[in-house]
Amino acid sequence: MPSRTVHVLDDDVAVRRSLEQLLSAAGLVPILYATPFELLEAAPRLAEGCLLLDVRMPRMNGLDVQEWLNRHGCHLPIVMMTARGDVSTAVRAMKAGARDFLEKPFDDESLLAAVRAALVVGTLDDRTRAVADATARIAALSPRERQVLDGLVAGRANKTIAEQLGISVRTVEVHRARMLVRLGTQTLAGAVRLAVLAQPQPSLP
Amino acid sequence: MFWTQRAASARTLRRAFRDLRGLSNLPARWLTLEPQQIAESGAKTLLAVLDADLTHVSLDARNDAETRIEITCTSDGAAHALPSAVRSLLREPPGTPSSASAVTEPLKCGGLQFVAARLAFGTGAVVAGSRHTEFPTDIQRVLLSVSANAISLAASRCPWEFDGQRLGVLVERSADLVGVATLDGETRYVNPAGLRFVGLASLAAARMARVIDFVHETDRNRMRDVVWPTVIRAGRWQGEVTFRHFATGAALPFLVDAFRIDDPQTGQPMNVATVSRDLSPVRESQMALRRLNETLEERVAARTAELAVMNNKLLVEIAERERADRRLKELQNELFHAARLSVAGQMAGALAHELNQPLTASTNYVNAARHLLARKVFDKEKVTANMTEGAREMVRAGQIIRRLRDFATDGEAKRRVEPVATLVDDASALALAGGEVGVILVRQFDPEAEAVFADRIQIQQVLVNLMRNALEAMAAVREPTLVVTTRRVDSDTIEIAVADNGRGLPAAVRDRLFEPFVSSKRNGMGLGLSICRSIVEAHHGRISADANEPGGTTFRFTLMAARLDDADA
Repeated sequence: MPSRTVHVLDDDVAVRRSLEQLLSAAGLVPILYATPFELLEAAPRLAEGCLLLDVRMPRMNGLDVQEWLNRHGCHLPIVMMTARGDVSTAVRAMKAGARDFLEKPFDDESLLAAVRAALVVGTLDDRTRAVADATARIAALSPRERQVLDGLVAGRANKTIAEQLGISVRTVEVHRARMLVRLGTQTLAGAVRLAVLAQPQPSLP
Repeated sequence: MFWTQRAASARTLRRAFRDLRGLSNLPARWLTLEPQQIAESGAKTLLAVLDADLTHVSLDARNDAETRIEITCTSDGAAHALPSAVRSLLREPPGTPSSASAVTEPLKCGGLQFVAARLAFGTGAVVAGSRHTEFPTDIQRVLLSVSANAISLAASRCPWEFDGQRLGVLVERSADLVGVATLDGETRYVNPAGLRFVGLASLAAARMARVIDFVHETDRNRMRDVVWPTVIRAGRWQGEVTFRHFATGAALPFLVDAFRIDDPQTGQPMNVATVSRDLSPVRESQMALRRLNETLEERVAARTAELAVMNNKLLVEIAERERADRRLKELQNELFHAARLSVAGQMAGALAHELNQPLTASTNYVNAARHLLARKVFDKEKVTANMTEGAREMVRAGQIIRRLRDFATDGEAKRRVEPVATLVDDASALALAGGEVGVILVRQFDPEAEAVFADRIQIQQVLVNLMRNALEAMAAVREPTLVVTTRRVDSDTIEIAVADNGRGLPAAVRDRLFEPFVSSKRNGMGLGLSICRSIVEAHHGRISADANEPGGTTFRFTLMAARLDDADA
């Protein structure tokens, strides 16, 4: 039986409390933290569940919190919440070991899927299987689709990618849509997640 | 002719001899005197020797009869002119004294006996008059005659000897070389200056040398064949001759005037003389001038070369500076663009985050309510609370948008009366700081549109934005022309228009031009014109865009008119 505890860190009280309502309604157990310091103080005692972190916060952002937790031996799975278009931050978070990331605003299905997946304590086999799956999907992309994905992972806008590849924005959009279908995901976040998984990973703590 | 005097006493005779001796010495004593002095001295001597009452001496001043010297002495010491009656005596031929002639009361002291003697040379004469009835005695006649001869001698010799003496001094002291030689070319005389020039110690040494020895080797043939024969034949030769320094052999350039001296009596050639001027100072100054000219040329050449090097350096520097300037402008451009992008980007980022928070919360609340409603048994109050919170978050999102808008327009606090021309000029300086080449800026200012009531910074933002857009639109235009026009629309409104002759607006964006995130530019965020509209509308103005004929776009916006007088009010 996986844990149902979700540690929520967001400096915005409305977001925090709305997440509490939604997660509760979905049968999960949210624990709220208003500041990074509240979470870090509690971190040594955290035994189970997953973390839902907001990237954009004053003074200490989600990535800083993630790094601190990694350093202090807290390896609970992390789902990062980012602003729309803040892909480069999401990629950094993924490379630093985050399980997934969500672009605000997100629908309840995306949130619950990401959180539930994180709550299933991942074994090494799960991870390996996920990496193999991601690698296979990425390998199925056409060279152009792969280039568009690389551009997106690098945090570039459609317009910039079009300029770099010497093709029109419209064509980039076509490639992007086809690439998402082939990867079996509907969101940029999902595609980026797969791309990051397929890349050689840094040694996980 | 001999005279004897019968009644001559011994005493009279002794006196006569003494006088004769004295008179014979006169010419020697008068040697250094001027003719005037000789005449005076003669007249006074006669007065004493003849015991006369009046004596007169007249002399030709020089060897011409034009300037006469006339001296009259009287026994009473008073000045008298020669009585006109005596003048006839002066016309007597030279020779023995005239016979005495009586003149009545020439001096208002009774009648006088006059006697005259003409001088040997010239037209001069000696006259003496006495009251004594026996005047002139034979002795007095002899004395008068001797005096006349003595005066005549002295006076006639005087100018010659005197002038000769003076000439001698002149020649001796002359700075030029003066020399005299025989017709055979034997040196007779060289003045001290000449001796110095040619390095000879004495006149004796000079007289040992022949004229040809004074001439430098290079000029001897010419001297022998041309100069000397010309002087002998024609009497004169002038020209340059190089003399020789006897000690060193150095060449001495001289301007030579050589002439023949003929015997005044016989007219036979006697000597050859020269007055020669040393040309070495002239030569030296010529040389110095030439050297100066040459060195000047050298210096000019050197300086020209220096200048050429400097010029090259300058050209290189200018090229480098131009490159640096271009790079700087590129950087400025990039910075300008980056700054605008990053400002827009930050605004977009802030906008996204600010809006995402309430949107996320609202979505979560609504979804939570949906989850609750999906249960068979649900807490109605909890569902209502979630729905209420969700709605409240939507309101919050709206408030954020309003707040951002207020932020962009920053209220009315900073609005002042601003001169329109200054606003436009400052903005065009900023907009053109990117270094666009060849952009023609036309300013058409309506004098009726002097000032607006506005926030200077914000209106400059609008103007800079419109101008930068125009410049970008004209990037490929041959003669990019930016026309900024001000116009008073009515008593409350002033319109500023920014027109370009660029590529114009695509139809796709024309209708949504001032909406956020609409852009016809590759890298445009689509915020510039929406911010412009926010600012203009916050100033109670309107902004619009029209297509130009044949190409380009005109953006117009209005502001509240003001008068500059109100600035301090």
